[in-house]
Amino acid sequence: MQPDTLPSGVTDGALQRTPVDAVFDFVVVGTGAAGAVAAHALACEGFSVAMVEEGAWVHAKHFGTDVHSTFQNLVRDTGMTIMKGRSFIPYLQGACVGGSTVINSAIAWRAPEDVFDDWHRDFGLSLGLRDVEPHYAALEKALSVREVDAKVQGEHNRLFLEVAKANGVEAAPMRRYDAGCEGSGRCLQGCPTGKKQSMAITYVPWALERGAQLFTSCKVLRVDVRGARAVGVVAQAKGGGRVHLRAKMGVLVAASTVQTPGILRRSGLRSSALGKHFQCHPSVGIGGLFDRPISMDFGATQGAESIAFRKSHRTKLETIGMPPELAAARIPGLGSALTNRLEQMGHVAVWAGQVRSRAEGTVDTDLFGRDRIRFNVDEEDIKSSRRALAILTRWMFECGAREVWPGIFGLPSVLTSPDQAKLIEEAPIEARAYGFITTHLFGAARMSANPSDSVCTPDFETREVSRLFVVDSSVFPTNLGVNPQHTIMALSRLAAHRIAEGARSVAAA
Amino acid sequence: MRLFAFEEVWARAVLAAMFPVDSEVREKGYGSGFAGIIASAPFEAAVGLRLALLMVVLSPLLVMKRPRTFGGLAPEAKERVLDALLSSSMYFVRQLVMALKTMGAILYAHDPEVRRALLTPKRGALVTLTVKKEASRAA
Repeated sequence: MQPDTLPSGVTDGALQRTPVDAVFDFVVVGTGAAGAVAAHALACEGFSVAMVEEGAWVHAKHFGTDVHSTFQNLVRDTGMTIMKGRSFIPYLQGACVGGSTVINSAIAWRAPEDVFDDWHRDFGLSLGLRDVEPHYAALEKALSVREVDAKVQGEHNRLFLEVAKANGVEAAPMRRYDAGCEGSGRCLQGCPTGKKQSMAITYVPWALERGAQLFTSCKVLRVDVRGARAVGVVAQAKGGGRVHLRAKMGVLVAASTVQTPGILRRSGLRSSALGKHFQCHPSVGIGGLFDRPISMDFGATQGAESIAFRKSHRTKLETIGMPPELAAARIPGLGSALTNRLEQMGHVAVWAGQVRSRAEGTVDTDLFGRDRIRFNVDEEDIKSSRRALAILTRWMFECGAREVWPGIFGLPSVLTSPDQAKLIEEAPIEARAYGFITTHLFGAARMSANPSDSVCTPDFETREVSRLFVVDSSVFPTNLGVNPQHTIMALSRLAAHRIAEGARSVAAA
Repeated sequence: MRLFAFEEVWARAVLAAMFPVDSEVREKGYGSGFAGIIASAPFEAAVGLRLALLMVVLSPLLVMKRPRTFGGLAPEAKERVLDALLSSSMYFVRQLVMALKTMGAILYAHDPEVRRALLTPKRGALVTLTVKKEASRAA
């Protein structure tokens, strides 16, 4: 668990009114999955490390039970971030120490081998599953990766596994960063028991124990670049002080796919590939109202999944125990009809399909200098979404759902028979008819062997500025088709070890 | 960004029509809660939500062809207007109203008592979702 007071080595930027000027070997921007792991790896190698985080360090006892409090305290722009395109697609990002790992479902997936094969074939990356495997293994050990325990499976997860099995579809309990989940069903609001192994209670404090320093509530303005070499980071503390952190050996940017391109741009990088090739996993969900109690508030928030359709339909099916207010917004009806269904919220389950989209978008800045994503799902994504929703609809009826709510414009808002799943299969090929949402973001500072189409070399270093590394999912040449946190951490750990090795040989020379 | 007092009254009327509550205090909570959301929302989102509110308040004119504001309608007519907006063929219209519904849901479940009730399994008969045609006449 986090300590009640900030541990030593932490500077709270909210209270920092005077300038800071300090020197380290490395400066790491961001404390999410990528930044925390990289900072810890470098600190373990004996380097002095500073972590800079835009958000505050929020203790578990201040996590709210409801979405309103969570969005106010832990989520960027109070959860009102959307990707713009033909349709609006909301996305959520953590904005606190630990980043999105504080508000996600802690799902651990090793990227399938075909992803690395594609990266090798199409982008010239020599990175193979064999290179990443030791890092996956180390992370799994450190973060207690395990399958959801039967005791905390929860009815929405159990039903999913049961119906998938009955249909001959391979499905399994999720593997998560879980040190003894108590089934509070509050992964998305911040785990109240500290059993979810987010970065805020693992790699960040572990890096601090190894001597790293952390500057919270400090927004990075730019990387300090001198003579095409990164020599530090300039940040603005929330309290008003200017924070200048000098880096003798390098700067690692891990601010996320949305924020990293902006930081690079403000630091003078002008690569034509910067901000391009953004990808994500657009997701669609359905709700079902059952006779039996479901109680989404108990059990693993997300605890069951199937990748049986990952290759054939480019979709992953999964459960999600939604907080009641987020589920309520998707329940059809208004007024008395809506409150009538809300009263039966304890009988509602939500399942989702996550699409491995081929579409690419861009990340740039708007007129006010804010980071902005432009993205459109393509026809294939919509077809994949329809297939996923139709399968899940049939499954819900097979489990005894009284009603299923597909959430597709142009279709009845309430389906009452499995035959109506056909309507979903024939639903319009129109992005605006679907309620997509996404949390997995990739690319926009791509790593590739091809200099004309990448921001970073295969060694994670930017092509324009030496000793400036990008170690978050911005460098991923494509999306994965499975939840990315594990691969983000593994690649960041691998990158940090390589960077440390490089720094040592430079120092020795 | 700060809401005007009259906008808080609008928010209260619109959100209470979506998520009816049983006490005036809780209904008032919609107004202040919505003002709180606007105050902490990014500029663009705050503008969008205010626009959504204005659109709903003036919508009886377009939906029902009546010179009334939203607050002056009977409850069933309010539902009918909101339903028409949510099923509008214009994407921006239904998205803006959907954004209001999401905020309403967040504020509705913010009350610990309501939350507890929501999470307690309780099976019951289902009300049909068809909005009654005579609702407009009731206004």
